[in-house]
Amino acid sequence: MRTHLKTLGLLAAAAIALTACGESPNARPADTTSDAPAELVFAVVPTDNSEELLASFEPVVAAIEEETGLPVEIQAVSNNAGVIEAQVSERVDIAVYGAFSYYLASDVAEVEPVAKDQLTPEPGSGSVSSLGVTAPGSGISSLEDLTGKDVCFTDPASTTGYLAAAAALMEAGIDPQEDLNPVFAGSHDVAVTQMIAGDCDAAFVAETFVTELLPARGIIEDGDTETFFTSDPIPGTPMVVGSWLSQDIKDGVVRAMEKYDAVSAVEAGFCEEDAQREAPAPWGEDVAGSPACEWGGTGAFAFEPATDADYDPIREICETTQAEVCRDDA
Amino acid sequence: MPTTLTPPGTRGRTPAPAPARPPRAPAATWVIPLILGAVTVFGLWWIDVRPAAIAAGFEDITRLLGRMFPATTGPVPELAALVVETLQIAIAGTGIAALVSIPLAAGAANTFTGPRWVQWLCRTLIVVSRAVPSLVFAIIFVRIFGLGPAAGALAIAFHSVGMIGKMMTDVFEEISAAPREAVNATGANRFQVFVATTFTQALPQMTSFVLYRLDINIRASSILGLVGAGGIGVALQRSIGSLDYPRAAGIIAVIIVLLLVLELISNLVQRAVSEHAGDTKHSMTFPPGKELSSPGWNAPRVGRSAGLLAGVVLFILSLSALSISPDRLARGWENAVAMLTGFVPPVFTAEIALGLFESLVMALTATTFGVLIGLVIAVFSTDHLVKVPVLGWALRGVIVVVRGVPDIVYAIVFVAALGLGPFAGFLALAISCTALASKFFTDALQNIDPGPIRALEAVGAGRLQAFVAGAWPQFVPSFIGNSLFTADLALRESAVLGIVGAGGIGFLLHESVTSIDYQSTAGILIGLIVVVVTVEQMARWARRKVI
Repeated sequence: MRTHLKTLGLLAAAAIALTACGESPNARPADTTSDAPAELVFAVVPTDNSEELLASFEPVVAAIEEETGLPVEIQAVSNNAGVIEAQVSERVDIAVYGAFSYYLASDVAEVEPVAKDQLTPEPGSGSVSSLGVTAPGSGISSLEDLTGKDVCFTDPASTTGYLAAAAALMEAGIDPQEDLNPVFAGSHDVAVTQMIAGDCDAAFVAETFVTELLPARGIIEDGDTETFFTSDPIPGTPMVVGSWLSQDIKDGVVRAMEKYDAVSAVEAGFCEEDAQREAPAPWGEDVAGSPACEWGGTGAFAFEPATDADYDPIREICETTQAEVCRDDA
Repeated sequence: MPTTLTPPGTRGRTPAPAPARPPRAPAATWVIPLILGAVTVFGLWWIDVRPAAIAAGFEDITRLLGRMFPATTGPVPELAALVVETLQIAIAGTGIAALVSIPLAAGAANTFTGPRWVQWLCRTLIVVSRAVPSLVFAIIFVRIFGLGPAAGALAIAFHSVGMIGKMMTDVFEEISAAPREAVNATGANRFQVFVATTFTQALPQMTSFVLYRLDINIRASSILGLVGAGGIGVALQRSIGSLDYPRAAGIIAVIIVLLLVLELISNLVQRAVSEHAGDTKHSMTFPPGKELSSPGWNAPRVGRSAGLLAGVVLFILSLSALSISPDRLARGWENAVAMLTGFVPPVFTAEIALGLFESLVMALTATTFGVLIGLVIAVFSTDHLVKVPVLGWALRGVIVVVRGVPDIVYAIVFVAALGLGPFAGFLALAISCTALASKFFTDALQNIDPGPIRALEAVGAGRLQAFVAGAWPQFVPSFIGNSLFTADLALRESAVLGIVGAGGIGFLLHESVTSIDYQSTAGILIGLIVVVVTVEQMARWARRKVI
C-alpha cells in the first residue's frame, strides 16, 4: 500500500516536472491566420473509401513542406462541418475532403480547389460513380423498375450514395421520395449487405465498394450483386486552399502536386521503405511494380490541377434534385 | 447509511476521548484527487491551453452563432414524426435496458449472497456493455435485425445496460443494511429480501438513473442513422453536415424542450418516491389500510401507481413499434456470425494505444473541470442546502439547455474560434462533463437525508458548516462514484475529439468501422474494455474505503 502511494506521488511529481519544462506536442505558433503564416494547417476528412488517413497523407505533406518551405501540421478530422467552419474563420489553410463538402464550403468560405486526386496516370481518373445494384433475379434492370420498391441509399448528403442517383431518377421521371420507398442505411457497406439480406430491393452506392472494397474484404462475392445503373462521373476528391494565402504559398502547393506523384515521391524520399507499396497494374507498364508512396487516402497516383468549374456536376445535381442538403438559399 | 458527523480533515486535531475518535481519513479520499490533479496538470500542458485564444476568436464565434438564426424547424408534421420515432426507440431501448439491469445489478452488488460466479458474470456483462460503444452494437444488430428501429433500439438497450446497471449496483451497495438484515432474519428468501428492502430503498435513485439514461438516449439518437432508422438525432446530424445551421438550431430547441419535460417528470417522480425529497417530513409511503397487514390507498400512492401504469403503457406502445419478423431473424444470425468472424484476430497497434492515451488524458482533464464546476452548480441547485427554490430551478434549466446542445455543435464553434486541435475538443468535452456531473450531483444531493443538516442548523451552524458536516459525509460515496462515472462517459464521448482533429480513440473507432477494418475495431474494443475495467476497479476501491 505504502509503496503504491509513493509510486503515485512520484508519478504526480513527474507529470508536473514534465509540464514545467518542454513544449507541448500540441503547441502551435500563436498566429496562423495572417497571409504570411509560420506554418500551414492541413485538414483531411475521411472519404468513403479512405484508410490509414494520416499515414497516407504524410508523403503529400512532405512534398508541400518542400515546395512551400513552411512546416505543415496535418490533422484528420471526422466531420466536414468542423473543417469548413475552420476555413470560414481562416484557420485551416489546406483541406482535402469530399466533392460535396467543397460544394458546401464554396458557399461560405473563401476557398478554391487547386488539385484533385487521380487514381491512375490517366487525367480525370479520380472521378467516381454511383452504381445501382440489385440482387440477381430481382427483376430490376433499369431505374424505371424501381417504382414502388424499397431502395437503400447511403445518406441524403452523399453524392455517390444518394444525390447522383436521385438526379438520374428525377430525370427518368421518378421522384426518389414519393415514387419509391427510400431507406437511408448510413453507410455504403450496410446499404449493400442489407440489400443482399433482403431489407431492400436495390441499393445505390459508390462504385468502388461494389467493385473493390467489399469483395476484397470478403463481405460480398462475385455474383452477389447485379449492376443496373452507372451514374455520370462525379469529380474526384479536391485539395482546397484558402484564398487568403499569398500567391507564393498557393503556387508552392500547386507545384508540389504537379511535380510529384506516388512513384516519384519515393525518389524524393518522401516515404520510408516500410511505408511503400508496389505500384499497381492500372498505373501503366512504365511504373507498375516499382515502389510507390501512399499518396492520399484514396490510394491515388497523383493530384492533377483542378478548378472550381470541375465541380459544376455537383451544382447540376443539386439543381436537378433541389435536395434539402444542397441549401440553394445560402 | 452510517453517517458520521465528523468533517474530513480534522484528524489529529481533536483530542477526543477514545470511543468518539474520528476514523482515519481513508487513503482514497486524497489519492484519487491527487491522481486526477496530476493528470489534469499534464493534460493542460498536453492540450496547450491558451485562454487568450478564446478572446481572439470571439468574433468568429458570434459570426457562426449568427448563422444559426433565425432558427427554423422545417415542416412541423415532419419534425413531429421524427420526435415520435425518436421517443419510441429511446423509450423501448431504455426500458429494455432498465428491466435487464435490475437483476444484473442485484447480482453484481457486493451485497449479493449467491454463488461467486454469478456475481462475476453480472459484473462482466455490465462492464462489457458499458465499454462497447453503441456504434459497434448498431453495426452488429443491423445484420441480425435488418435496417430499421429494432436494431437501433437494441443497440441503445445493450449499451445502456452498462450505465444503468453500474449505477444501480452502486446504489444497492450504498443503502443501509439494517432493513435487509431484519427481513432476512424473518426467514424470507433472497428474492423476497431484495424486493422488500433493497429494491424499495433504491427506487428513487433507480428511477432517476433510468430517466437520465432516457435523456442521454434521446440525445444520442444520431447513432440510429447507422441502422437505417430515422429520428431527430439523425436529422440534426444531417443538418449540421450540410451546414444548415438554422434547422440544426430549430432541432436543438425541440430536443431541449423534450429534455426539459423529462427533467420535470424526473423531478416529480423523485418527489413522489423519495423518502427525503420533501423538505423535512418523514413521508408515509403507505397509509394504514383496513387491516394491519394490507396497506391502504392515499393520494400519493394513487399517483405513484398511475405513474407506473403510464410508464408501462408507454413502454409497451414503444416496443410494439419495433417490428421484428421471425424469419428475418433466422437469416440474420448467419449474417452476424459471418460478420463477427471478421473481428478475429483483433489487431492492436501503437496508433490505438496512443489514441486511448489521448482520449483518457483529455477525458480525465475535462472531468476534473466538469466535476469542480458541476459540484458548485449542484450545491446551488439543491433545495436542502440553498433554500432558494427559484435558483435551483433556474440552474437545472440552464444545465438542461447546455446538455441539449450536442457536443458536435460546441466542437464546431470552438474550432471556428481556435482552429483545429485538442484545445477546442477539450472545451467541448469540459462543457459536456460539467453538464453531466452537475446532473449526477444534483440528483444525488436531492436524495441525501436532510436530518443532519437540519440538526446542525438547529444548533446554529452556518450554511457552509451545515454542508461540510451534514451533507458532505453522506454525499462522498456518490460523489466519488459519479465523478469516475463522468470520466467514464467522457471517455466514450471523446469521439468529439475527432471532429476537431485531435485524434483519440473515437476517431479511430469510427475510421475502422467505416473502412470495414473490423480487426482494428476489435483491438479498439479490447483497449476500451481494459480502460473501463481499470477505472471501474479504482472506483470500487475508492468506494469500499469510504462507504
